[in-house]
Amino acid sequence: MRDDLRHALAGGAVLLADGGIGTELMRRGFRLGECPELWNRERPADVRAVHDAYAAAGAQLLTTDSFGGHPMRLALHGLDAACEELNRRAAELARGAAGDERWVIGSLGPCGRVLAPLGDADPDAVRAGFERQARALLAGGADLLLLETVTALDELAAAVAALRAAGGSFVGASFAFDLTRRGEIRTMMGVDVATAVRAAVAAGVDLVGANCGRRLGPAELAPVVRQLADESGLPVLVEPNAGTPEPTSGLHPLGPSVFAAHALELVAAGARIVGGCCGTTPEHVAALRAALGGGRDSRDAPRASDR
Amino acid sequence: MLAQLAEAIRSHRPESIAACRALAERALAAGVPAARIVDAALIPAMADVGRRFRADEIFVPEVLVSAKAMQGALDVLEPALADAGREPFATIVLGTVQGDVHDIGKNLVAMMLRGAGLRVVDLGVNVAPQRFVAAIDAHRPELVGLSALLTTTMDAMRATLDAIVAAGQRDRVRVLVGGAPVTAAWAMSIGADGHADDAAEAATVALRLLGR
Repeated sequence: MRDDLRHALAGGAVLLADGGIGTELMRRGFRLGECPELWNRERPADVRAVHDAYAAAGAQLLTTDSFGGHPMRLALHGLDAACEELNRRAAELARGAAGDERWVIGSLGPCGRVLAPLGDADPDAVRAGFERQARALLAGGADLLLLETVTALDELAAAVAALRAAGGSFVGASFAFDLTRRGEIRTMMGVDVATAVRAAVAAGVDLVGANCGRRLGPAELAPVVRQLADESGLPVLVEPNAGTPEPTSGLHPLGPSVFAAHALELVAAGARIVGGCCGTTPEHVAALRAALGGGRDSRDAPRASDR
Repeated sequence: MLAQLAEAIRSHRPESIAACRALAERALAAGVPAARIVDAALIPAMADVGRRFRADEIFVPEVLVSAKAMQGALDVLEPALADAGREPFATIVLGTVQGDVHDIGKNLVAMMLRGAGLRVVDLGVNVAPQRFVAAIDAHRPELVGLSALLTTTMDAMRATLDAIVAAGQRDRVRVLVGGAPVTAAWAMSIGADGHADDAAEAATVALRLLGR
C-alpha cells in the first residue's frame, strides 16, 4: 500500500493523518526547553508510543518527530551536527510504527530565521539545511516530505528545491494561515491564500495544505481548504489545531467529537488528507476515524466521489 | 527633510534602507540636531509602522524593512547623539523565555526599543530564568522584557518572574511581557508590570514604565 499514495489520492480516497506530536510528547514528560527531536535518540520508546497510539486510533499517515529538525533550529540546542542522526531516527521510529500499512510523513518545519535580504539568514545555508534534513528523513524511511507551517515564500522556494535535490519524489507544502484583525486570511509574513497557492504550484509541489494557524481552527478552515483545492488542482492536506488555546490555561478547547465534526466539513470542502496539529490527540484521531466511517485501510475509507 | 526621512521609513520599500542613511546624513550636515531627527522623524515613523502592524495592515516583512531603515538612520546619528551627551537613558534586558526558540517578534521589540533610545541587552532565545537573574546583576537594567510565542512556554514567564523575586531583584526592575498568547490579564496574574501586544506597543509601554 505504501507505494500508491499518489494513486490513492488520484483515486479519490480521503486519508486520515495523525494528530499533534509535540503536545503528545508533553503528555509523556517532555519539558520546556528540551529539544523535541532529541527524544528520537534519548526517548525513542516514548516517540514510538505516540506513533503507535495514532496508528491504533486509525491514522493512515504517521508524522515524524522532526518539525524542528532543520540544522538552524537544532543549532539553538547545540545539536546541528546531529541533524542527520536525529532526522533519520525520527523517520525510523515512525516507519517502525507504520509498517507497510501506513505512510510516513517526514515533517520539516521552518528554519526559524528570516532569509536575506529581508532577514539575516543566508538562503544557500537555509537550502542546504533543508537538503540535509530531507536526505536523513528519506534514509529513515519517510514516504513523503511535508513542509509544515510555511509562512514565507522565499523559504518555501528554497525548501522545495532542497527536498527535490535530496530525492523527495512526493513533496507537500502546508501553510500556517492566521485570521487577521481585518478579517483577512494571511500567513504571519502577509501572504494570502491565492499567493501561497501560486508560489507552491510554481515551486512544483505535489500537495498543498494548511496546518496550525492563529485564530483559524477547524471551524474556520473550510473556505481555505476550498480555495487551496480550487486554485492548486492538487490534493489538499489539512491539519488544524484543536482550536485556539485558552489564553490563561494554554489548553486547547476543542474535544474529539467537536473536532471530528468540523473535520468532516473540511473533507466536504475538498480536503484529501485530514489530521490534526497542536492539541489534537489519538482520541481526536479516533473520533475522526469513526466520523469518516470506520475502516482503517485506505480501501475502506470514504472516497471523494462517494460524498 | 525630516518629513522625507519619516516617509522613507514608513514606506517599507527596500530602497528606502539606503535612502534613510543618506537623508539622516543630509539632515546632520544641514545642522539639524541628531536628537531632533530621532524625536521628530524616527520615533513617529516607527510608531506609525507599529500602529499599522498592530492593525494587520502590514506584516512582518514590511516592519523588518522599516526597522532596518530606521536602524540605518540611527547608525548615522549615533556618534552625534553621543557627542551631544544623549546616552541611552535606560537599559532593558530582553529575551525569549525558556522552552521557546522564537525570536522574530523579540528582535522587532529590540529594534523598536533601540529606536526609542534604550540600551538593549538581548539574551536571545530559550533563556533560562537564572540567566535573566544573572543578566540583571551584570547589567543593572531598569527593565526586563520577556517574550513567548508558544502557549506552552507562558509558564516559563511565570517561572522567570518567580526567579527574579527569589533573587531579591524584583524591586529593582520593572518587568514587561509580550508575545502572541500573552494577554493583559495573564500579565497581571503572574505579577508583571506591563504587557504589550506588539513591538511598537512594547516601546510605548517601556517608556511609560520608565516614567517618560
